[in-house]
Amino acid sequence: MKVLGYAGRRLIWMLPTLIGALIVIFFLTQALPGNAAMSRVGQFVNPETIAQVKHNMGLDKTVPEQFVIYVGHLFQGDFGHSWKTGNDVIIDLGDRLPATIELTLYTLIIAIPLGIVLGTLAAATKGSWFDRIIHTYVTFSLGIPVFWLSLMLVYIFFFLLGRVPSPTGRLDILDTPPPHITGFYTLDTLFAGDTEMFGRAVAHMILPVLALVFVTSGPIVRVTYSTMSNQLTSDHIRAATASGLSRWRIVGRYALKNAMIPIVTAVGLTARLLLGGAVLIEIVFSWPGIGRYAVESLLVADLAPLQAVVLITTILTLLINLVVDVSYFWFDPRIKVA
Amino acid sequence: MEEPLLSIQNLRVQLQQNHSTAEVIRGVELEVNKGEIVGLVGESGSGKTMTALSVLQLLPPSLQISAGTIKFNGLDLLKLSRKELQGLRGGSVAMIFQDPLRHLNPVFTVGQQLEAVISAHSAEKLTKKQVREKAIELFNQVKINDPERRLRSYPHQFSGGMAQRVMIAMALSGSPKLLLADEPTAALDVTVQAEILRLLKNIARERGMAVLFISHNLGAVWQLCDRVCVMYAGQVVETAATHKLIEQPEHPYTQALLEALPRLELKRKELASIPGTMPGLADMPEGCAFHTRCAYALPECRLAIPELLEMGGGHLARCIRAGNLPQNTESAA
Amino acid sequence: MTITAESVKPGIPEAGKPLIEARDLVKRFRAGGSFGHGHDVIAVKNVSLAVYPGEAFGLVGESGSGKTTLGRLLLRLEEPTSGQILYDDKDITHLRGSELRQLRSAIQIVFQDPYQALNPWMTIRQAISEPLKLFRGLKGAELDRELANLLEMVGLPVSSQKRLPREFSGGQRQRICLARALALKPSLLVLDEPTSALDVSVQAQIINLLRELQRELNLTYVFISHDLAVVGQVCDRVGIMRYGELLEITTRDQFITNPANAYSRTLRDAVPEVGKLLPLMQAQEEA
Repeated sequence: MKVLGYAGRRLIWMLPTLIGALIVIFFLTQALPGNAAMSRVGQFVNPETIAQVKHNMGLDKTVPEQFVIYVGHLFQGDFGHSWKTGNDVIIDLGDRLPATIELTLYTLIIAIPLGIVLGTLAAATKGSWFDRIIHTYVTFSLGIPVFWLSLMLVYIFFFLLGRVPSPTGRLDILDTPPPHITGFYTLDTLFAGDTEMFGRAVAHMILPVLALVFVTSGPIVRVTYSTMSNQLTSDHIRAATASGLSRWRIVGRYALKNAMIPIVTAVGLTARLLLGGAVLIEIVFSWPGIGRYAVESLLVADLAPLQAVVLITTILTLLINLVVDVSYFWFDPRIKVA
Repeated sequence: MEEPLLSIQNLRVQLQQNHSTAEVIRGVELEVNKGEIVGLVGESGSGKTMTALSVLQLLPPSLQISAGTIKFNGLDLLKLSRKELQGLRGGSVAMIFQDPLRHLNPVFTVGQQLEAVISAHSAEKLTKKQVREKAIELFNQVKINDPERRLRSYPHQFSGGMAQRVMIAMALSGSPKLLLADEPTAALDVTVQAEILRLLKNIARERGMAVLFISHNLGAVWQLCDRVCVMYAGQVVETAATHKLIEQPEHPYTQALLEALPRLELKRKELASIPGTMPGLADMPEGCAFHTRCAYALPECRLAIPELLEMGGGHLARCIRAGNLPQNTESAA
Repeated sequence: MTITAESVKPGIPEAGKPLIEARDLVKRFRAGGSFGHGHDVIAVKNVSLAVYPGEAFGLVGESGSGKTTLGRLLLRLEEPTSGQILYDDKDITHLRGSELRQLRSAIQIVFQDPYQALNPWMTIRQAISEPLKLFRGLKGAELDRELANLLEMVGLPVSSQKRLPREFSGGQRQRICLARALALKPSLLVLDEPTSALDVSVQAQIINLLRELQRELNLTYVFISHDLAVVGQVCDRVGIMRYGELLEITTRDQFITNPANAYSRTLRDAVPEVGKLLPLMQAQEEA
């Protein structure tokens, strides 16, 4: 099948891209201010100790040498060691990556259909009060900073109304996480049969997901609205209307399928941004995700986690791009594999 | 005298543009009898397409029907509910358009689109097999070869002529009594155009279906139509049986149009062109819309919009001098 | 089927030598595909023809016939894949750079869609004076005079120059395009469906104008069109194309009364004329 071949070729081309990304990351992080060794043991230690620590960290080798060693370790599944958390990076990732992905997935599951439906309805009822409300919604969605929104939500719903748990992470402070199967607490608690903890995991997700859905649905609504508006005035839609098909069918199937390519592209963009940019949410809600992991490591020049996070994000971005591109073939039969 | 199948009386359509309104259809009178093929002829800006779109209320939001009645089989179309209108469209009254490839949905197969229309218009619920059979039968009627394979194809895999046949098949699925054809052959090659004209004529005669054929191509109209209405600047200015219109046009515009037509004939002549251009909405003349370009204009022409004068035998012309114009023998067939 | 220069002289009295000649022209386009996949479209297949000074040569065919591509080749807007083009006995097949630019003042084109052929942000004055300035080095009062002259020639008021294309109708825009093309004083004008986008009454105006200009300026036309009636009114000789091949070159009279090629006959018989039922329609009427 031609599409599979295309996907295969794209996956192979991912490797050079990753190497390139790695090179850039590696050399950029080297340029970071701060002496990694000194960060670790403090600046009041004598130079010999620093030199010793540097040697232990492998930082006394040349940068290209360090790079080669790093890549070699990668192939063995060794992402390095975070001296800040004391764990191997891969262990840390095992906790933090699912945390971010869980948040991202729930956000997308809600925001995508919501955005598409609202955008479609607004385009189909152009000029109506509903249309105007949606436009206002989009303006706010695009304009309100997510961290401000998060803080406001916490203030109102936790502090004032006490309806949601405190923003202290994925579970209550005294909870121990369920046994790790997927890393998604909403699933793992169910697997462990602990329905009360499941409830708490969900409760902790409400505000962050709400905030994220609010800010990510805006662009989706906007793209849907503009493409659908175009589609609804197109010749083939007029012909379909003239042939007496129901409005639902015309809008929801005939027009929407034509509009999917720009919409899917926007969704891909949103997904990529969510993965990388959920940092602010993670900070406000004390969410132990990879965004915070990267920032915290950056601040103390703990290089291995930083490099790992950038690597993972790059892989995920490339995969999202691939999925979006392959979906084009499905939506528009005029597009053929070259 | 039987009631006409379609009767448009005093149709007026307004265009909303930046807080100002202008009339684009200025009182159109039009009738189509059962089984009759009527041509609606005019140049761009005459309002012919808009008139057809008004019948099924397919005008874009900026255009509004401000007055007039449109009666189909005695039913006032402008007073229908949404559901009744939806039932009418593609059912008793169907429409085909210009540039068929743009009027077919590019992301669905032709079969899917045709079958959707078939299901929508069948009185009782049909099984998938029955729908498929009906689709193949329709394709056979419009002379599309290898129907099973074609049904699985996408519009972009069709040529213009084939795509128009598909549109005609879709239009026929509801067994319409009236077919509105908006320049169906304009975007097609001349040999394909001839075939489509023939197809339309055959189908119309076989089914006793009436057709309103909109076109700027007088030659095509002559091939197909029993009667012709000529439109200018949002009004019907002349209507007559086709051969009568060509042999003895009574409106100066029709005369001028026929004289301006290049013919594929040995004689080379200076084409009689009409000076100026059709007035736009902003500069519509007082009285008769054509008088500023008319060779026979009189001062009286400016005073009022002329009524449609009866010339006998269903021949009507909107000109105060109709019946008294010098006939130009060159415009005769 | 190649047609030599000799076989196409009928109808042209003192023909002399051709103004422009195509010899065995082939134009191949590569459609689709990276990595060397994709297939060829041969738009023009071994076409030879000659157009003589002062004549109006019609090029007719349906969509996909290659007539537009051939027109563009003659202008050297495209380079042929193989074959030769000779203008005034000079081989222009592979001209480049400044030599090609010089050719532009000899051969000009008017396109089909007057709504797209004019830059919507340039006034008429700007549009027409550009070639006057660049190619003929005119400026000041001389430029103004020539500009007024051109506008008058195409039947437009001199005051038009300050206006933008959107203020003009289709027919008027086509006149502007003509004026622009004539600014370079070309000898050969390629007209690619110049009246197809126009209404009947406006079309008549443009056709009359084209005939008048040809007489006054002694122009040679290559008139590309799918509208046989229009070609019949403007042209002296007609070349019929189909699927990239030039099937026949015949005189206009011959084409109207009795074309030799079967396809030419099919084409002619398919043109819907007022007052005459098409053979196709006749057959079923009698049934």
